[in-house]
Amino acid sequence: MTTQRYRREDADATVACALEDMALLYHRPSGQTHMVISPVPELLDQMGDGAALTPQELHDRMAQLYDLGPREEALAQVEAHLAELAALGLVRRA
Amino acid sequence: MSEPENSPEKQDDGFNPAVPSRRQLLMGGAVAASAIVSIRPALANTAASVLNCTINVPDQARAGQAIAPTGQVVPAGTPGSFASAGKPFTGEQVKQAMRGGRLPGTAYDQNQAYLNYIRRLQSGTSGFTCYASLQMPR
Repeated sequence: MTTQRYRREDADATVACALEDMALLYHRPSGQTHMVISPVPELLDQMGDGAALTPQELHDRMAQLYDLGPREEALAQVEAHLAELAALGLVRRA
Repeated sequence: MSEPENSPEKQDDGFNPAVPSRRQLLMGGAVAASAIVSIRPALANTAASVLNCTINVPDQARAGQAIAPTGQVVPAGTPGSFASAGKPFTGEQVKQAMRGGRLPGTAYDQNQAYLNYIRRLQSGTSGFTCYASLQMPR
């Protein structure tokens, strides 16, 4: 299990636009627009308070709101999503 | 570094440990990255090649004509005008000149005239995309 912590990029670094089941995230620093679908918007929402979270902590926050299925599987997915988001600059390794 | 866990979503917990009302969230299967598709604007791509793009003064369709101090393209030999630049300037050279430098091989007034020409470039004109990409931050 990783203990890497992630925190969300500053809120004003992205402009979000919700479109039905999809969200558009315009990332100012890179000039890129990311089309994201569930569970990415939900993950980012749970990081909205700016806390530096481990994948486990984020998973546990999510699990309070959503049925994520088997913990080990869901946790691996949370980790994978965080790594992807970090590569795009939407979250930062803390 | 851990944060207090007294977040407002507490109210969603309810008192039922099974929490049947929670929405099922599919976590994305094997390929997590498929939840994200990224779009790069066309100009963002050109920004990466700013150092390499070039601007002809004037554009090749009007090669051989001269540049007035205002930046307008005028017939060669027009009094007060400057002969066209022999070779294109790179985006980086233009960028430096706009920051107070000088286009290579130009005298002061000639430099001003050429920069005025470049500033007047409009969409559709050769060199405009290069000029526009210079305006972009970063």
